[in-house]
Amino acid sequence: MSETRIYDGEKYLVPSVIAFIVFGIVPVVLVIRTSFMYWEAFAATGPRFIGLDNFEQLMNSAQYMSATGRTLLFVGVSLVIQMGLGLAIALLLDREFRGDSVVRTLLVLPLTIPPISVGANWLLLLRTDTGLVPKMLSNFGITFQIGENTLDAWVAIFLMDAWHWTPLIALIFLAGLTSVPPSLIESARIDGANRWEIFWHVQLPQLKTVGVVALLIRMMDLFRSFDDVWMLTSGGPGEDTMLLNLEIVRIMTQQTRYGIGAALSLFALYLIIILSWGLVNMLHREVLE
Amino acid sequence: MSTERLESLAKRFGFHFLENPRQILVVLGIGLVLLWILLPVYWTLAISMRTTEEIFGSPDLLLNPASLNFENYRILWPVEDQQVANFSRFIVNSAIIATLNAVLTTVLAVPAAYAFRLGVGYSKHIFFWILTNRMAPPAAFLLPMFLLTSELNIIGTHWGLAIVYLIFNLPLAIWLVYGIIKAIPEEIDEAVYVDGGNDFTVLKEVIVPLSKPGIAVSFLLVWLFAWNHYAFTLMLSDDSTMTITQGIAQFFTTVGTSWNLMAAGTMLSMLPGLVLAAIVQKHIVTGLTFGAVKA
Repeated sequence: MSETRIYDGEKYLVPSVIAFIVFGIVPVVLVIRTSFMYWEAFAATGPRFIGLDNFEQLMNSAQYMSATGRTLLFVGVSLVIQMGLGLAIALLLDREFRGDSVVRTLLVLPLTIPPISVGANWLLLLRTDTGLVPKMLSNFGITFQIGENTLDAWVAIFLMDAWHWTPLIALIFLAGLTSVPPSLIESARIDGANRWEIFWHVQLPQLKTVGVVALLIRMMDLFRSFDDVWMLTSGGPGEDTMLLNLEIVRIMTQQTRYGIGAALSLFALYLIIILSWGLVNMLHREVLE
Repeated sequence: MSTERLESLAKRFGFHFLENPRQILVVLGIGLVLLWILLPVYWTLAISMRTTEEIFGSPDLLLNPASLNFENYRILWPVEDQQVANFSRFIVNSAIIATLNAVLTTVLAVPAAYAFRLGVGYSKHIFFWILTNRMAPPAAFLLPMFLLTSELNIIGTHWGLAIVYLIFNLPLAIWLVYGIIKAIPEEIDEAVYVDGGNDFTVLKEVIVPLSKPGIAVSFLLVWLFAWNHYAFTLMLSDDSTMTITQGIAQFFTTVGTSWNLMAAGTMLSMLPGLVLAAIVQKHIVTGLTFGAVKA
């Protein structure tokens, strides 16, 4: 600003930095500490340090490793569905018409309601006894049972998550499409390009940046998701849709095995750091530029 | 409907079917998207206004306006009978927690965003670190937050949840507010300094007044996300501070088959989101994408 510094910015940052140390760093330290302990709420013995035993138990457990596999399946399939559908919806809405702002507001709706309510909506829609979808499918002789059939439960989860988050991808792509200079599209049209060629050669290359942003953010948030799946299937039937986050919460709240739960939390944190590495780098570049 | 009537209707929305027949597909597609978005919410609304017999029978797709009943909503508002979920209390609890969190977040975020505008030492690294806090997975933070709030003696209180939500909402708010105030020209600051003011005068008399609408939207968005939160309530709240999201989740285990009551509760939980959707629309995408996308 000026040569002599007449302002002091640090003091305005102190409260927030304290908040992030207490609620961002201290929890990680606590979870690391607990992961080295044998600690069960209803055990005869109190908490004690046991070294790496929890991690050994974790790595040898088929149960926890399958939860990890299911989580990666959930993230991967959802990403493909939502990126594709989101781009399609963005292309559909990338035009002016009366009521376009109403449509965009409705599109935001799944993002503004509680994730637990998203789960409740889909539970009511897909349950065999209350749901519209199973009732309509039964007219065609198709049974749809999210409580009994593993495939149906997965379909339900993918449908629900697509409903919940595709709007965000669509709005990101829409923002990207809006920023494509109209002159580029116009000159391509003059050169005789058809609608498809304009999309493939003019619009799509311009969407690369926002596409990467959408992909990375969605990947991270998919990995974080808990509420809506917990509400819809609770990991069932059996444990067939038990994702890592659901497993952690079950260990913490129902089994109250804090030591192994902390080890699994740490493992989940490690996975999210790996999965979010691309996003972190991108944001870092953006902040530092 | 005749072709002319269809065409004139389409024209009123800005489409020209006769000139460009492919627009028929576009309109069908947009209609399908709207149907897809509205169907789950509509079905919950329909169940919330039906009796148990109507739900388990073969329910009509359409609600009959003559037989709408608000009985389920009334049951959720128990004055004397306490055996069913007491939603009036859940709503009050959620509103208290969300308001406390939104006030706390805003009070911390505005000065922090201002600090980044002034440009403190290492500010970019601190900014980046703050931003990564938003990535914390709630499930993995459940136990440490439980231990931490027990230690601080705020577990089971409204303040406990309101403070813990800072980890997600403060990065979001700092971002949104910084995005707004960095656009304020620095010449205005200079003018205040020349008049003998200091950095606090700038904050109080320039930054805050000029960015009020933006701060207000950030406040609403933070309030909404605090209202919507569920995972931390699993271990951090008790019977007296139960939130509306917990109220919905517990139907599952305790009341089991009262699906119409659960639907009514779900409708109530979605009310703030439905009301605020239009207001927060532009900022929610910016907020959810770490400021990388301006919608």
